[in-house]
Formats: sequence, structure tokens, C-alpha cells
Amino acid sequence: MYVRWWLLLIPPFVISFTLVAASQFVFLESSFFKDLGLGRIGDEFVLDNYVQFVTDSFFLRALWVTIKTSGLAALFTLILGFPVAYMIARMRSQWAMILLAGIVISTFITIVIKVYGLIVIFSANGMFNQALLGSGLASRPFSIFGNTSGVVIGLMHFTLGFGVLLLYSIVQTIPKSLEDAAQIHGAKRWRVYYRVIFPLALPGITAMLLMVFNMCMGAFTSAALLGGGRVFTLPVLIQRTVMMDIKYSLGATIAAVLLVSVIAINILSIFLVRRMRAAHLVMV
Amino acid sequence: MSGVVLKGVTKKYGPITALRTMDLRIEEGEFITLLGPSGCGQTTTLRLIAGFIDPTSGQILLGEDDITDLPPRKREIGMVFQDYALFPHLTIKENVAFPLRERKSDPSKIDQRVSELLDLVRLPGVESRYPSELSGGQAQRIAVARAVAYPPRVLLMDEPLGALDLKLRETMQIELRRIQQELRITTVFVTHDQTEAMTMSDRIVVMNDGRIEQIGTAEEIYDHPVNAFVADFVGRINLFDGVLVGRDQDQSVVEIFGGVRVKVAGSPSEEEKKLCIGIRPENLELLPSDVGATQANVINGTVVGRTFSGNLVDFYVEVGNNQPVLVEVPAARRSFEVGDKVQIVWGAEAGVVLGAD
Repeated sequence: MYVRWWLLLIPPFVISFTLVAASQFVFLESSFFKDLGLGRIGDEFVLDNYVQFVTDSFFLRALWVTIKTSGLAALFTLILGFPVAYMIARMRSQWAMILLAGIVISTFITIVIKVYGLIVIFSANGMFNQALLGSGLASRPFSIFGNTSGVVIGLMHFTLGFGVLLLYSIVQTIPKSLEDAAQIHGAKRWRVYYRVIFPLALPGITAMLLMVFNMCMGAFTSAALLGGGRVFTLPVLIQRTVMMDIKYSLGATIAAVLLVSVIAINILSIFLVRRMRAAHLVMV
Repeated sequence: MSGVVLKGVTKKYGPITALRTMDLRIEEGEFITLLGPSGCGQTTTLRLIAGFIDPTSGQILLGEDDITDLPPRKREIGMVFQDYALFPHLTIKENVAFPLRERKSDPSKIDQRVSELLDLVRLPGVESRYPSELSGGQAQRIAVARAVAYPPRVLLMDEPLGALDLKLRETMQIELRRIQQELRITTVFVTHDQTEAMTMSDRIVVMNDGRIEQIGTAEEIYDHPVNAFVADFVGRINLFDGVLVGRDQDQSVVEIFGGVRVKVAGSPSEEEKKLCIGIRPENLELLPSDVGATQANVINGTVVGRTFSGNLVDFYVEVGNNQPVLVEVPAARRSFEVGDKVQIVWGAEAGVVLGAD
């Protein structure tokens, strides 16, 4: 007899959908009603909250800071993660599996513990600053608290493991024989990267950059802990608006803007990469 | 173009020896094949010449130049890979032009050169296609065109025909040989297919377990194998362990299966009492058991198996040995059935004496 096992999927689907989509809908819908403060919401359909967002330079700057820190974190995750992923993917000993396992495990450590690790290392008299001042390279300690560099470092700390794993799987799809072929036919090492590895990895790199960027756009903990109340990214702002100012519909508006900008940037990036590929700009 | 010389080259991976001391001189313009079972060290040898791996000891010369420590790109070598290794994101034109661009050829002459090369491999007009749009045989031709684009001093080929079906393989064997002779390029070819090795090569290097067993032309290796491994690997052969029991003019009398005496041309040195004789299945003949045989050697047996392959029929004849004797008979003369009593006959000159090992 044919058993319709998929019917079993319906209850969990309904529960998940209700919890995620319905609550999101209710929350985001409130952004279209006037915020009366102290958690009260008007019943007239208006765009006041959105007008407030786009006319207040504070909100616009927060949007820009969020995009900037997320973009930088994604870029540096690529720059730091690619060599690591490449080495592991090309290793032929069992060390590759051990290193990969280490990265997976470190990815599962909660960001709170990771950030406290950063605080220990980067505090005014921590290891990093003692080495920096001791070597005479700088005369003042380098601080990662309350500035965007700190937030970028914190975000990267959160995404680097994912980034390496994604890049690893991308490099693995590029046969080693293509590198051999490029080398034996005269390509210098950097030319092998430029003409073979990079173009072949490009679709995967784009996906990895977008995933890391999206993770960062929504990241609250590292931004809140390292921003120290001075760097406001949109997730931090949503938390403050909802929890401290008790302005629900304004908080919902910020969330809606965040959501729309993430979707818009993703679509735009995919479109741009398609255009580049079609024009063979990155192929020669 | 130049010859290649390997001087005492060895390669070890930790405790594992991939290549024992290897001395080999490949002449200028020669087509040489490294033949052996997979993992016997032929691919290691090829990758050492290419420079993808460094020898543990020894020296590699290209012409007069010591290239042992040069990186691959400075060796001026062309290579055809087992999986072709065409760049999937580049057009055929850019694939073929890859060595030209990387080796800084005059850009204004690249188009001209690419179309010459596509003519050479008989695939003109595919410049703007991508590798994924080609069949296996076409991809093979493009891989060859790329390998010889910037005229290399040596062409290396690593089992290039492995992925093709039989018909295409035979066509490509002839094609590769034609291209090699047209360019008069020194070529090192790796394969585990003995037919491929024999049809294409000037000389064959039979390898086993990281060392060279025999070097020679196809005829030399087939007719005069130096040991049982070579005899068995190149073509098919019946091997009989035996003991030298006497001489008869320039023939040796050897006792096999503990009683049957057979004659073999040539005389091994006195000390070699135990030896092995090999007889190719096509050099044996079958006669009905009631016919008087005039040949030097006769063994009685029973047909236990028969396989038909079109032009030939293989008979497996039980002779009281632990392994049936294989006799290859032209299909026109297949007048025996399983269960028939037969005589296997052959002349003394049909057998070769191989050292026992």
C-alpha cells in the first residue's frame, strides 16, 4: 500500500509557518500605523514611520553603518577565509579533516563567548595591545569597543567559520588538474588564480559573500556587545526602539527597511554578477 | 625539441617507494610509452618530468638542461591530461591560446596560430564553442592542440584515451601518432593498455612496482620478453614452470608438469635448472587425438572451454596442470567442441625461456 508519508510534514509546517510568517506579518503590518508611544499603535493606515525614517539622518546613517560593516565583514571573511579554505581543500593528508572539524566546532560556539574572547585579547592591557605598544608600532592602545572596526571584527568572528566551510566546498569543485594544466602551459602562480581559480569560483564566492553579508545584516549580539552603545546598526536600533523606547511600530518600520534593503542588495548583486558573466568581463 | 634523460630518479612518499632508481633516455623526436598496471609508477614518472612533484633523488635532463629544480611553467613542456583539463569557462579559442598568452606570444598572431592548430587536430571552426559543447573525442583533440600550441620541447600524455569508447580510441591512436609525426615532437605517453602501447610507440617501457622491467620496440617486447611479468602483461601467454633436464643440439629439453618433456629453442646457462617457459596461444595448434603429430612438442588434453570472438576462437585445454592451456585458433578452423580429446602441438622455436621467478 502506498503510504503518504508527506502528510506527516503538514503539522510541523503549519506550526513553523504560523510562528514565523504570521508573527512577522503582524509585526511588520504595524509599521503602517502611527506610533503613539509607550507601545500604543494608532488605527489609521499612514506612512508616517517611513517618512520619519527617510527624513531622519540618524536612521539613514544607521542603515549606512549596517551595510558598511556587513559589507566589510563579508569582504574580509573572503580575504581571510579563502587561503585557509584553499589550503584545506588541496591538502591530501588527514589533517584536512581535523582542521575542517575544528572549524565546524568553532562555528557552533556561541558568539557571546567568542566576543568575550575578543574582549580579553583586545582590551587596553590585553595581549594584542601589549604586543602593539611593546613593539613600538603604536603609541596608543588600539580599541575595538564603540567603533566600527570593532563591530567589523566581531561580525567576522561570527561568520569566518561559515565562510571557510562555504569556500572549502567551492574550491573542492575545481579539479586540481586545471591548475596543473595552467601551470605546465606557462601560467605563473597568480595567473593561475586570476585566470582559472577565481573565475571558476566566482559564482560560489558571490553566494558566500551574500550569505555572510545577510548574516551580518541581521547580527545583533556582536554589534551590540562591541558597539558599546556608540555604533548603531539597524538590529541594535530595533532592539533599543522596541525594548527601551517602547515604540513598536517604529521598530517594525526599521525591521521592514532592513528586510527590504537586504533583499534589494541580494537581487542587485546577483543581477550584476550575471551581467559580468554574460559580458565575459571576468573570464579572460 | 629535445630528448629527456632520467638519471637515477627515485620518488618516495614517506615509507612508500613509488619509483625505484629509474634510468631512462628518451631520444629526440621519439614516441615512448610507459606501460604497466595502474599504480606501477608510470604516472609518477610523468609528473616528475612535468615538475608537479620533486624527485627524492636523481636528476632530470631536458636536452642538455638540468630541469630537476625548475617549476613546471619554466620547463617548456606540453601536457594532455587524463580528464583533458580544458578550462570550462574559456572558449576553445582561449583554451588553445592559453599557453600562447601565458608565454607572451605576439598577440596579433594568436588567431592565426589557433586556427592552424585546429586544422592540425582536424577540428576547424570550433573557436567560439565551450568545452562542454564538445564530445569526448573532440575535447581530446583540443587538449592536444593546447598542449602543442606553444611548441613544447616534450609532449606528455597521461592515459589520454582512457575515457573514450573502443572505436574512438582506435581512431585517436592513429590521430595522435599522426600529429606526433607531423610535429616530430618527443612524446612520453602513459597507458595501461598494451594494444595502445604497441600500435603507437617507437619504444615501450614496461614498468611494474616502481621499476623498469624492459625497454624495447613492440616486436622486441612481444617476441622476446625478459621475464614472466612482461610476457604476461604484454599480450597473452601460457607460462609453464619446469626443470632443465638436457640438451639436444641447440635446443633445451625441459620437463614440465613433473613428467612431460618439451623442447625449447636456445639454451639457458648451465646454472638455471629451474626455469619458466612461455608460449603465446597463437603459436599453439590443436589436432584431433587420433592424428599422428610431426611437431617437436605434443601434449594430450581435453577441451574444457571455448570462447568465440569473431575472427578467433580461444580454446581452454585441460592437460593435468592446475591451469588450462590457452590455444588461439583462427575462427575458420574451430572444429572442436567442449569435451573433445585433443593434442596440443608446437614447434621448438615457438616457446621462449624465461627465468623462473
